[in-house]
Amino acid sequence: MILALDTSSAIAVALVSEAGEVVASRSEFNPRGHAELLAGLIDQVMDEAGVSREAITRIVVGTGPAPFTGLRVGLVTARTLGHVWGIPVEGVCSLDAMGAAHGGEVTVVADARRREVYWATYRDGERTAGPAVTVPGEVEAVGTVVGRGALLYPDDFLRGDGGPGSGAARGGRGAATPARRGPADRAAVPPPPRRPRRARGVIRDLGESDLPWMAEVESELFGASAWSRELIEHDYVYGFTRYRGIEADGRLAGYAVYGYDGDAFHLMNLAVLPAMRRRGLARALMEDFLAEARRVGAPDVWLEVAVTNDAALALYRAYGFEDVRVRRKYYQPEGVDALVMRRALSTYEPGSP
Amino acid sequence: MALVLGLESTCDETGVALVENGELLADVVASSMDEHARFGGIVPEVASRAHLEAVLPTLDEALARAGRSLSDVDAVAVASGPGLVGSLTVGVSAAKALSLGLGRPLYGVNHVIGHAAVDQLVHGRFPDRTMALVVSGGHTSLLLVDDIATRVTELGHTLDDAAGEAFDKVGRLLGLPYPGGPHVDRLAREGDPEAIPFPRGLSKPKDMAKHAYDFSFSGLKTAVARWVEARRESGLEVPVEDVAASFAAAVADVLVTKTLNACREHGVDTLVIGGGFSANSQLRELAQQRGEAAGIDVRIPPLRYCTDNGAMIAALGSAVLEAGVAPSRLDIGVDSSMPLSTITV
Repeated sequence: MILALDTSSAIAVALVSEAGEVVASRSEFNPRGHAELLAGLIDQVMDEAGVSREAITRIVVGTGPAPFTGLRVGLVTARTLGHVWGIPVEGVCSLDAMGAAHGGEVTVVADARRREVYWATYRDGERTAGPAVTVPGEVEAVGTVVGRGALLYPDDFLRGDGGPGSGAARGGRGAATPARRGPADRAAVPPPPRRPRRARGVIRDLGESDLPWMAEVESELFGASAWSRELIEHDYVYGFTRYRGIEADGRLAGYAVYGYDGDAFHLMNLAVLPAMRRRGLARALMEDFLAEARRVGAPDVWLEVAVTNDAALALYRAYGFEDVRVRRKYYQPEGVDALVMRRALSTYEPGSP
Repeated sequence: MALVLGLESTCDETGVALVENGELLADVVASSMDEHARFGGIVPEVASRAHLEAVLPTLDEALARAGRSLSDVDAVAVASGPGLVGSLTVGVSAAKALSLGLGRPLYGVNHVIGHAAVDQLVHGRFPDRTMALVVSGGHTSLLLVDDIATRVTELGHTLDDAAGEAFDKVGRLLGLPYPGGPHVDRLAREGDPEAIPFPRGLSKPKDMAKHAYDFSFSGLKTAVARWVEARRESGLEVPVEDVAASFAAAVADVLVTKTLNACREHGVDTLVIGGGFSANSQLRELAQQRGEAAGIDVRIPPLRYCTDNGAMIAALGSAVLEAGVAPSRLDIGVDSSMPLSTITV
C-alpha cells in the first residue's frame, strides 16, 4: 500500500494500492491549514481504510513546484513518517501528478504567487516541457489547460475561441476543471469519475480579481445585509470557504460560497444576476455545491435562507432541503427571520433535484 | 520510566533531546546561525529550510548518543509557539509525524516556559513557588511558577525590544559583527559600567505604578545611539568599552531590580534565570550578588541549557507528562505569539 501526500496547494492524502487503486482519500481546501490538518487526515484515511502502518510499504510526496509555506509540511511529514516506519519516501513533481491524471495533451498551470505561474506540459502523462516558472503570458500551453493558475489568469489561458484552453474553460465541472484549493488538484490521486452534465453555464473558482465584482453584486442584491468587500476578501483568504462563480454568455453571472470546517458543509451564499435568472444557473451552482459536499465526504449539507425569499425557498425545497428551525431576526438590519434547512447526502443522486 | 523526546525549532536552532525521569540522556542542536550571519539577522525562510534538512539527522544523533531507538520513546514533546511560523511549522509537523508514526502521545508546549523548565534537569525540582526570568534575543518575561506543568503566571514582559535584541542592536550601532550581544558583553568587561549614566527603562515612580514588572529597552537603545552620535559629531573617539559596559549595566540593573522586587512581593525565595541572554556576564554577576544579599537562591543553568535546545522542551514535556496533563490533539496548530498563560496546547 502506498501513502500519497501532497501539500502543494490543497492538503491531500490518499492510500493507493500497488495496482493504482485509490483505497481511501481525503483532502481539505484550507490554504493556511497544512500544519494543522495533514497528520489528522493521514490518521483518518488509515483509519477509514482499516490499514495499519505495517501495510504501508512506501510514501509518495508531492515536491511542488509550489510555495514553500505549505509544501514543507508535506515534505517533513513524509520524511519523518518514512524514517519512523523504515520505508522509502519518493518525491514526485506535483504538476506531474496532475498531468498523469489526464490523457492526451495537457498543460498544468499552478499559482506561483507574485503574478507568476508554475507550468509543465504533458502528452499521455509524460512530461514534454517544464516544469518552469514564468509570467502567465509566457506559458507555451498545449491542449487542455488545467490547474488553479489557469483560473487566476483567465485572459491568458481560458480562451473561448476553440484555441488551447477552451477545453477546460468549457468543460464545466468535469475533472479537467481545476479547483482553487480543492481536491481536483490533488497530486498522485486520480480524479473522481467524470459525470456528464447539462451545459448551463460554466462553473469555476472565483479568483481574487473577481471579488470586487462579487462585492458590487452583493450590495445591489442584498442592500444593507450584503457581505462587504472587506469581509469577502478576508474570508476568501482566511475562511474555511470556497468561492465559486458561474459564467454564461462569456461573463460571470452568479456565484456561490461553500463553507466547510471539516464537520458541517454549508451553503453560505448563492446569487445570480437578475438579468440571468431562469436559465438554470442557480440549479447548476446548487448541483456543484452538492457534488463538492459529497466529494469531501460530508454526511449532510446546511443553509440559511430568508423566510421572505420565495424563489430561493422553492429552489432549496426542489433539491430536497428540509426545514430544521427558524432563527428569529437573523438578517440584520432588516430583522428578517431565517429558515435553517438541511439535506442528507446519502439520498442524493447527482444531476437530479 | 518514561522516555520523552523533545523537539525545538522555534527560531534558527533545530534541537532534539531525550529525557528519562528527569535525567537528560542526550541533547543535540543544529544551528543555521552561520547562514544568518551573512544576512545580519535571522531570515525566516532560511531558518525553515534549514530545519527541514536538520530535523532527521539531529533526531538520529540524539538517539545514538542516548543509546536508544525510536521505539523506546514514550511521548513526543514539541515547542508549538511562540516563534517564527515557518520554523515552528517544520518542528510541529515532524513531531506530529513522530507521534502518529510511533503511536505515542504528542504534547505541544510553550517554548518560553521551556527555558525555565530546563533548570529542573540541572538543579532538580522547583520548590512550590519559583520566580523565573526568561531573557533571550526574542523574549524578556518574568514568570511566577506555581507548577511548571500546570500553573504559570506572567507578571511582566518587555513592551518593546527583548534584552538580547537590544544588545544585538547596540552591537550593530558600535559596528560589531552579528549577533552583537556576545561582542558587547566581551567589550563591557573591559569598560567602566558607571562611565555613562544611561536610563533605566520603566523605573520612574509613574511607570512603576502601571509597569512594575514590565521592561522597556527601546529608550535605552536610543539613548546609546544619541550619545555615540553626539560623541562622533564632536570629533571625539567613542570609548566603545565604556559605552558597552554602561549599557550592559543599565540592562542588568533593571532586570535584576524588578525581578527581585517581584520575589519579595510574592514571597518567593528561588529565582531561575533562563534563555540565551542569561549568558550575559553582568546579569549573572548582579543577580547572584544581589540575590545572595536578599536571601534568594538564584539558579542559572549552564550556558548550553540556556540557548534554544531540545532539552528544555523534553524537560517541560516530562513535567507535563508526569503531572498527567492530557496530550495535545493531532490537529494543533503553531502559535507564533503563544501567550505565557499557555503551557501546553
